Amino acid sequence: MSEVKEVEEHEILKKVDPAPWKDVPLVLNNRDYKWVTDKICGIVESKTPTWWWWCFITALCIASFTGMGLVYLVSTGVGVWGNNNPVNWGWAIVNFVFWIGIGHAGTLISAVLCLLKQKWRTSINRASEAMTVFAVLCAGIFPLFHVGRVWFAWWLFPIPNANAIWPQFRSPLEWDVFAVSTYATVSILFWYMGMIPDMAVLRDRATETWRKYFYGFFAMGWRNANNHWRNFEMAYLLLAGLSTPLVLSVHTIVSFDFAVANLPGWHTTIFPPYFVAGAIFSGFGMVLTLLLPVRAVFGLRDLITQKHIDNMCMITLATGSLVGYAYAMEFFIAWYGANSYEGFAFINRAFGNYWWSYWIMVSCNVICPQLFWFKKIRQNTPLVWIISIFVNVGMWFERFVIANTTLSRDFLPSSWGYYSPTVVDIFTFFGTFGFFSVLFLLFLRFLPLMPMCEVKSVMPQADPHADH
Amino acid sequence: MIKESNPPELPVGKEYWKSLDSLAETPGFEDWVSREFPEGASMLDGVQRRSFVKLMAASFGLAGLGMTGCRRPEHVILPYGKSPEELIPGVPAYYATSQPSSRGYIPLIVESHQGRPTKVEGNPSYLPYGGSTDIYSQASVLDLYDPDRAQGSFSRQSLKSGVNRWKKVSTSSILESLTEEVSNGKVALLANHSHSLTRQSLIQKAKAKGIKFFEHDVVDYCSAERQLGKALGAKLGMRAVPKLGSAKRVLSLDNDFLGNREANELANSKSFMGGRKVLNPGDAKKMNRLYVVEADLSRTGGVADHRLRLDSSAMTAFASLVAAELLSKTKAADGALLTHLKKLGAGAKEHQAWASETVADLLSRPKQSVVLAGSHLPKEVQLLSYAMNRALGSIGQTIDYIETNYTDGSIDSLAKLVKDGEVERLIILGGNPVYHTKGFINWEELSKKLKYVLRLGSSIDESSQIADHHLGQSHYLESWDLGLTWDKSVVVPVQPLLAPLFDTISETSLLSHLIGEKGDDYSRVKDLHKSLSSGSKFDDFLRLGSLDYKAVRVNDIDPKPAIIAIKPKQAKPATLSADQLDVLIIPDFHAHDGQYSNNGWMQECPDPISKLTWDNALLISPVLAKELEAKHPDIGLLPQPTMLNKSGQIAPDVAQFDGGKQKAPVVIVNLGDRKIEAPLYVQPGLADYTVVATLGFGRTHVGRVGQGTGYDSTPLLDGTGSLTLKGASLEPTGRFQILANVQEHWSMEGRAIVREANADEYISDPEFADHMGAESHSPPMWGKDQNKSLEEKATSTPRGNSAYEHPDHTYEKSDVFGIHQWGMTIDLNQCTGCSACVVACQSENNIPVVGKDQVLRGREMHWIRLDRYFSSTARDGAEIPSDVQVSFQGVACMHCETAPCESVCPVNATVHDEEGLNAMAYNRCVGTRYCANNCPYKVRRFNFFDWNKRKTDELYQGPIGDKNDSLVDMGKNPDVTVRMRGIMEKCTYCVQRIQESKIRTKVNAQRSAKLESGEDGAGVKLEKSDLKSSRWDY
Repeated sequence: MSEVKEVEEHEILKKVDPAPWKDVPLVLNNRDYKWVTDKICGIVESKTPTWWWWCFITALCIASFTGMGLVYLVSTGVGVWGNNNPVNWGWAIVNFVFWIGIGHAGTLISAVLCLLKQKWRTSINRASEAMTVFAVLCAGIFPLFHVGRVWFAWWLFPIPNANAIWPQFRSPLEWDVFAVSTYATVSILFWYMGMIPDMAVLRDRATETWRKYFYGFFAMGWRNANNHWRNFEMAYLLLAGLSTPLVLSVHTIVSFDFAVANLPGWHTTIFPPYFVAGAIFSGFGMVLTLLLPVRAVFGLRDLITQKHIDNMCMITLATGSLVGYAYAMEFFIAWYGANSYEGFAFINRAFGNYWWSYWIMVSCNVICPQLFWFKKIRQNTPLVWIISIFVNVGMWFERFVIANTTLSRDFLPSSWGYYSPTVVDIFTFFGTFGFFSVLFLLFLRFLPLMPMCEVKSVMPQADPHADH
Repeated sequence: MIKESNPPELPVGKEYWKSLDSLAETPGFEDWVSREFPEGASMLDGVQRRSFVKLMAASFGLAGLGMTGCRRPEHVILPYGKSPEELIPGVPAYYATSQPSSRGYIPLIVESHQGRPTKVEGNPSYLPYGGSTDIYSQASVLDLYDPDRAQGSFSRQSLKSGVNRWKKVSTSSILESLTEEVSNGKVALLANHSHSLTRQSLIQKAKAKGIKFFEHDVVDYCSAERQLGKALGAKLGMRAVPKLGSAKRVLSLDNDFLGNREANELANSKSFMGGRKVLNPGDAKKMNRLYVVEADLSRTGGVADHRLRLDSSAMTAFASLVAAELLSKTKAADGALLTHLKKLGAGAKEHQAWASETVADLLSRPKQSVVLAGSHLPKEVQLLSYAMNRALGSIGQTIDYIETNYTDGSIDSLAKLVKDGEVERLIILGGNPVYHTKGFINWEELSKKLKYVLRLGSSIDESSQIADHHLGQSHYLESWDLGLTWDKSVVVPVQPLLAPLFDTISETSLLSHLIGEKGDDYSRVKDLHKSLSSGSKFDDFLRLGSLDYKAVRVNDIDPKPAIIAIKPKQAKPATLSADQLDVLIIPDFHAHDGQYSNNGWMQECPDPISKLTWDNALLISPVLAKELEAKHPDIGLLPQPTMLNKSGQIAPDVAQFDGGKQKAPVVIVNLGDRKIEAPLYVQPGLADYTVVATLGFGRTHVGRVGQGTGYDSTPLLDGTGSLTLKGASLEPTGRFQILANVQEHWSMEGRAIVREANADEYISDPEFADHMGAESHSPPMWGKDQNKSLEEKATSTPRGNSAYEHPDHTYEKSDVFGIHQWGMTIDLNQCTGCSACVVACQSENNIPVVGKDQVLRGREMHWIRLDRYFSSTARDGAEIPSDVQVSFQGVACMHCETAPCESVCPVNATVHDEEGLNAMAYNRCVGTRYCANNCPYKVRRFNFFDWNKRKTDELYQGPIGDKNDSLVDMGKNPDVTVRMRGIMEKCTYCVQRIQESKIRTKVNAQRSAKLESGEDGAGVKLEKSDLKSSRWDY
């Protein structure tokens, strides 16, 4: 051992006592493991609350609108919607992009934040992943059913057939098929796999036989064994790695539906990053919309803390500003590019036949989130919830603006038109909120809404060196 | 400060064991340990690749078992048991025939598939039309298969409620009762004007039997010839037949010679637009020039070089003004006549400058200029135009006046005779006189006086309501006849392509029954042909479809005395204001005088100028619109100018569009004690104080197609036969009507869409079109081939530098890639906007009619459409211009080389074929509609519903709704797929016709090879010289 020469401490350091950096605890009130287990499992194990039944039945009724809308659509023709020539894509594609965008927060929270070792993700990732899966299911309805002959939609899959015709791999819609189906698969896998240890907990605590079998089946024989944990963690990491590019790729490809087309207002290279930012923005908006009530109803304030809300608000602020920047940049490039069609497309967006939708979009997406600069507002949970609703509304309008302003007024003024949705359009879309709620309510009722094991791992008790 | 870490601790103290086994270190424990703490490998020996494949194979097999049951039902069709002679299944037959119309007989070639006529073409052996037809002939084939036509003969039974019920009876029984009625005498015939020679001979015989004969037409193309003949004291009609092929300067006085307001549209279009065929700067110098003076904006006005808006009551004064100028310059008039003309023309003095310049230009081309007067104009204008043509020396050069016959019996005299009890039995042949004349004839009163009324008509309409019996009239494709073309140069046959579908009767049969003549129509036509021809064969006549006929030219008559006789009062224009408006009534583009109001193709074909479908509107000028808005602020005529309008970004709309649907305020038109209600539509280009109403709509007894369409303008008619009325005012009702307008926006917004240059600009830069628009100054996509000629680039450079294989267009590779590369040019310099192409395409390609509701939703299906843009030299922000130029642009699929639709279709349903066609595989299409979004021309059409299968008013009922009448299906072209719902369709360049011609050419080549060499020509290959290489005619 070499001798270390004592260096004299600096004057100033003697005077100050640098406060040790202390993380805000992620679980408040010094809760212990048992409390966490009891809390989360208790939600599933308790008697079904009356409010749940009311919500569930209402959601089911609303979901039936989508069902009826689709039956009418398929039996009668796409004409029952408001689509026309030139606006061949109406609400259906708007709704598709809206829902698929919402799905983004789940993957971002579970995958990207996992890789970045953001510990605060643990208490919100399960619910966000559930939201992702359900949102993707809602999203999938629209591109599937918007086609004229839905019974031949399987032609989009590369299935060898007697005609020897393959799908057309140059079409962004074909890329969509792969992007969305991959995303759905990985999201479901990720969500389910993360749930296995918690399922085992529920199985072990179960008193009723059906629960034992139900959770037992899905726990896949989890024994808490070391090698189970080892594999679990490795698989989790792998899936996180696998999903991370998907966060970027899915919405990039969805944006290609527009960007690859040659229409003014669609054919822009800014779309992929702009869409991804928008998707994360809308995803976090939806997470806030869902989790704030859940937190209040189930008394999860110790688990979903102000820190969580702060972080989510800040991400919303950041992505909202990014989206605002993209809106501005689109205008700049439209002017700078000096293409008269492109220039008109953007002037028309802001001041043309759909001006109102543009300004709804700007106020909800760009102006509203700026309130999150203020701590007071971030701490005002009801206000945060209201702003999160505005974010959702704004992002729906963003897609509406993109899809409709461009199509309704493109190259030839002779073909300019106007699109308005029909009752069937409105009800089918409205119904998907019911469908989403049905699934989310079932999730709350039967599945652990937080990953207990992961939450426990970020508690002080999990750190043997927590005290020093 | 860095502190040194503690040195590793040595294992000291007690040793712990994990289990008893561990302590024992048994092999079992070691195995367990290696599995519990593995690096993974030993876990993965459970599933072998082999067993995985086995499992998967089994599951695929099961899936196959399940799926094989899912098949669509197959439909079985039956072949001919015995094939009729001269009929090859699948190969259409073509017959020469003609369509009788008030515009003369229109020579046709009709395509027939296994006895079903499907498509009408012009007969090229009639040279003035050069094988073209107008839109009405194109649409006429649909009337044959109209489920609402009179499918037999009927007897009327009046119900107490005043509604008539029609009982089907046999035609022969009605004819029997007719014989009885006629024998009682006091019989009159009422018909519309016909150019039939068969009818002419039969009517003469009928007249000899004491049957009175009357004619009435609301759109009376023969009015001008009668007026002129009478004014000049000639005993016959003097029909002006322009010969515009040699005309270099044309002045039209409200004469829509390229549109449906004049009779000879086809010949005029062919000859006049022929003078505008510009292939090189030399042609541009030789182009003809057109001056149009008109009150409305007609298609003729649309192609005019100089256009003057003039209210219709000022036409006589203006004609006098021009005549004074012209006759004085040509020294064709003496002082007295000139003074008189100047007096007559005083009312149009403010247009002196325009008139002088026009006259100077007309005179610059002696014998090559012509003045045409609208057939609806009064006799004064007819007379003046005759005088001007005489002075210009154009008679015999650019215009012929030929002798015609006319009947003096008008409908007024008939009404008088009925009132006086002179006529007790009336036979109405065709037309629809009750509908047209209800404004001035009280038919209810007359029908009480009439003892027997028989009506022959193709459908049960307004005129049938006063009849005791309705005889279903056979369609012209079910009848024999012989008639004259408008210029009386050719006799053409009408021969039936099929036996009458229903128990109907032709006009000829009815007339011959009436006069008690025996024999069938065929022998009657054959006998008539024999008397006309000098020994030529009847069969040859039917094959060729024409026989020369000699029209007689009228001898020169001095018009001076007749002109001097014009009283200044007759030429005085009305003092016009918003309360004293001129009304111009014109035949409607869709319905004409009402005869096409139940024709879905006509109803849905947009009016070339107003772009309205399924309705007519009362057209008013922007000036009048502003005055009305000022007077009635709540009228809701024009939209509030938007920010984009005010900043000049886009032009203001000429109507309110509520969610894309035109919302037109309904007004009452007051004309003395006569009034109608009509929706307003602001039409740039109209004379300020003339409102334009159209005929043929608002019918009360019409089939399901025409039901509830448009407003009826006939109550305004006063019985003088004039279609220009004075002294109207408009009064808002506060109600609105929704109009189906297919083109909301009228301005090109400075985009290089229709690329125009005047002759001088073209001569200095023949490639001007390439120097317009964004692409003229953006980098070319040809790379190294940039400087090659277009032909070379098209045939050698890969499409858009695509990685895909490019077809080898060399002749040697033509077996693989096709010898042709198809393209289509539409010469916009020639287009008059007649829209016949739209209906022809609809007829050829089984394009469905979608109905007004669906057009309102923007779902019309036309594969080729006609875009109409207005432009004006000066436009001020949100102002709607009054003086506009019109540009027509036919837009169909361009079959782009690097087609944007192809690259976005996810299922390869739209692909390029080896001959450069952008093909559409209907049965592969799933209907994502991405192609239509990405089409920059917006020519793709989507089947939002089962248009072909379901009734248009029951589309929203889906499978519960009624199916279409199968009669309509008979008219479908079997060479073109009938598309189902959910798929995209668009122009194919008539690929079925391309294929047919290719096969025919090949077969002909093989035949001639066989004839020449005696060998089998199966191996013959087409010669390269078969291909044309002109830049213009591909």
